[in-house]
Amino acid sequence: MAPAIHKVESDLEKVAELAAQLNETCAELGIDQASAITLEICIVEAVNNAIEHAYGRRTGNLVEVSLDLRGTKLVVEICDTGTAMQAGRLDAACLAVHDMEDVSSWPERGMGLGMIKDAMDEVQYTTTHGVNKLMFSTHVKLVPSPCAVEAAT
Amino acid sequence: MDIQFEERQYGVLVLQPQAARLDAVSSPGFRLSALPRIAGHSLVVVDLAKMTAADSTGLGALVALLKAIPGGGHLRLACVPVAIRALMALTRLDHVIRSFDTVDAALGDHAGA
Repeated sequence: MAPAIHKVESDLEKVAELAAQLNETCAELGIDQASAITLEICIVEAVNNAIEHAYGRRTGNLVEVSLDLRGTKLVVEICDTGTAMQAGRLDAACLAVHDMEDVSSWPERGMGLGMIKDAMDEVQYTTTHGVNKLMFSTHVKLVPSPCAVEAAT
Repeated sequence: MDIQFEERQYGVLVLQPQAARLDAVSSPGFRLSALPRIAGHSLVVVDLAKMTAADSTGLGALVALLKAIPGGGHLRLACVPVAIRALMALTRLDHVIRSFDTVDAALGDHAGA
């Protein structure tokens, strides 16, 4: 099956619309709800990062999201043509274990990349010929499509 | 962001955001509207019944709310949609902000609630 492609303008206002489209795509691919929610969370974070950091919130650019289901492995690629992420930023990103008793130690921002690393099996970032690509993958649970269920009964 | 505020006895404030998402778009407005109302309350309940999803910026706004509550006070969430529960679990924020099925359950044994 060819990868599902979504293109979103570099405008944070457009991300909610993308999230709804991702939901539909996950359903079409037969991905179960829990996996779909995690994927949506991670893709939204990655697209937000591209809009905020790569494009500096400048509108008029595109972020491309590709979802490629290979068996039960879903490979997601988020591409932009803005400013590349600093070297080492991905390696350094983590969801630090905070002091549960010390509320002031909890961050109010900068959690997105750490969340993606925590939730996904593999995360890579590359820049080639001006295109920045954040790739991450995870194994998803698949549910039988309604057509398959109908054919089997 | 439009937020409904309900003052209750014994230092309880219930607030219900009227937007569908607590995200990078809506969070600045949420902070702007909610933070000035926090002072003087010992329990703040955020009713997420109208919401469907959030992102890390939205969670950051909840953390800001938690930090603004005077020492010893609590922030609790009610009617949390499944997508926000998943986000809370992923970031481990569910360890410091408790979620409840209803506003009444969130008020729980708080004095006079």
